[in-house]
Amino acid sequence: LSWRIFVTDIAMIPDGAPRARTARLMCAAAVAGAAVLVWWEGRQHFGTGASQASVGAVIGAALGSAVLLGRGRQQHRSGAWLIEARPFDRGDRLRCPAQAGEVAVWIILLFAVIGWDLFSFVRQSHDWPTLSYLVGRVTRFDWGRAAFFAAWLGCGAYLAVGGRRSEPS
Amino acid sequence: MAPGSAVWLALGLAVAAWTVIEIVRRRSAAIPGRLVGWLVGSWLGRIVMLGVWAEVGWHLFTQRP
Repeated sequence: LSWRIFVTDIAMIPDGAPRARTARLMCAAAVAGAAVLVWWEGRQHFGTGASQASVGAVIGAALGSAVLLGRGRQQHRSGAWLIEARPFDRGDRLRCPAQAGEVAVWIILLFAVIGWDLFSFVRQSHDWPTLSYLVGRVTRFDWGRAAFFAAWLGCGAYLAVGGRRSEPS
Repeated sequence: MAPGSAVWLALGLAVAAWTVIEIVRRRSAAIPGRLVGWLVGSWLGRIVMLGVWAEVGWHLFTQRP
């Protein structure tokens, strides 16, 4: 629902029933377009001009939509965000030791993955595969490439337009 | 199985197990979600995240990993 409101706010569509219908149509068109793109991208291969053009176009579209659609809708100014850099508020459950422990486990897992990837990259041997090498063994298949591309597209859509205020400032 | 692959398998199982534990406890992996939500809360964080996302996509889909 919030995505639909966001889309209609951006398009400056008036309130009322036509607004809801237009929002549904726009969302359906976006999902259908993404599905066709995922299907097509799954049939592409590494290093071809088509794959470079399509991935480049998606990156350009994500950056462009992030700037155009999100103007005046950020939660915080970058300066204040940097100064008060804390992902969890002080009055938050992070004070509870149980949640501090959960955060610690996530941090350990994250650093284990990054550290092992760096270690494998330095070794440069198929006995010590990097994460991207393992991903490449899946994306060599059409279905694997399509699945990873769909996940990447979804992440990009959220990073470009998600987590904003519904009304511009 | 190569030794490096075994380590990746163990890491993958650990991440999957911890994610399941978090979801079962009804927190639905809320901590990574809140971290990403915080990162996209400003232009600076959002552009950095988009840059990382773009680099990952370019590497995975246009270069041979």
